[in-house]
Amino acid sequence: MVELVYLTLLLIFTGYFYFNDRKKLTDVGIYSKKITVSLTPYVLAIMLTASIVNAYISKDSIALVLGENNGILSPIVAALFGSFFEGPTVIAFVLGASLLLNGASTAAVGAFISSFSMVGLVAISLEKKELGSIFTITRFIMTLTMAVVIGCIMGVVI
Amino acid sequence: MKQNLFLMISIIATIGIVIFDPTRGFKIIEYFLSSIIETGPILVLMFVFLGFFQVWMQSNKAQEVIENNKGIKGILYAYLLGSMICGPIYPGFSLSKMLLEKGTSISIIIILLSVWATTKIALLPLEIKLLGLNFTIVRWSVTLVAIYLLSIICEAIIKRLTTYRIKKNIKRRMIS
Repeated sequence: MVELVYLTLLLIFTGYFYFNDRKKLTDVGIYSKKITVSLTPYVLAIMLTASIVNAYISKDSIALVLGENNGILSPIVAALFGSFFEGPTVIAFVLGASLLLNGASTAAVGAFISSFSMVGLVAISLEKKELGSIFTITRFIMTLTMAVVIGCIMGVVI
Repeated sequence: MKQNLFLMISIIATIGIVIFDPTRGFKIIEYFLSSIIETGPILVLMFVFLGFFQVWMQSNKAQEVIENNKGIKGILYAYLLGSMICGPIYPGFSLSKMLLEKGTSISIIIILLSVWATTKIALLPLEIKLLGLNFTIVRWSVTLVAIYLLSIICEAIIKRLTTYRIKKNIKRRMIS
């Protein structure tokens, strides 16, 4: 179903560019190719790793750490886990979906998606160079806190 | 390069598991194939779609618009443009630096960076497919409000810390 949304939008965009600005279509092709080449291995690797984890770690043990019963601890653990890595938002969704399927609570997945996509230990040095350490560290700590808050509210609402 | 290495390691690990622990190994392959069948088509469509978005919405366009709009208008544009820009956040840092030097407020920068990372309009159909409509609606509304609060808190803290540091430096210079 959702695929149809993308498909219709793609057809509309292609038609628009084809009749108005045919040169731009080659640019689109180049960008799409670049995105596909850079993201596909990442997505496949994440899916494969998730499958391995799936086969070895039971639903119960994921639920034990990130499940509903763990209360406020589950979004905190998930946010900290997410803050180590910094990845494309696509990956955050793929990982979040597989966590959700395997017994993690909504609060944990909400916190994980926020912290994974917004901050990352890897990106800190780059951000520091551009925006200074006060800015970077404040943003890191406050975003992490906010990720836990977002997760908690989502857990309560859903 | 890094991604390829990651993929290679996971493939080698899977082959190892298939050889030494066949029951689990085939389970892994089964999981993997079913997730590819389920999300593969939408991912391919999305990659092409992102190409269109990138041509249409370049980050220097965002810079121009945000530079010229201050106050509430600037905040709204930061939300709007941040969620329309595609691609990783790294170029966002140098963009933010340029904007800060041109006098854009810290809160707008925080909003731009946060929205750039988490709420993406181009990924909306994918998010609905993977995580469900209900989850997506709640996540978007909670996140958008939380980012506004985040921007206010961060601006207050950063301003205070910066003035504190300047005062300390002045004192140090006066003593020496």
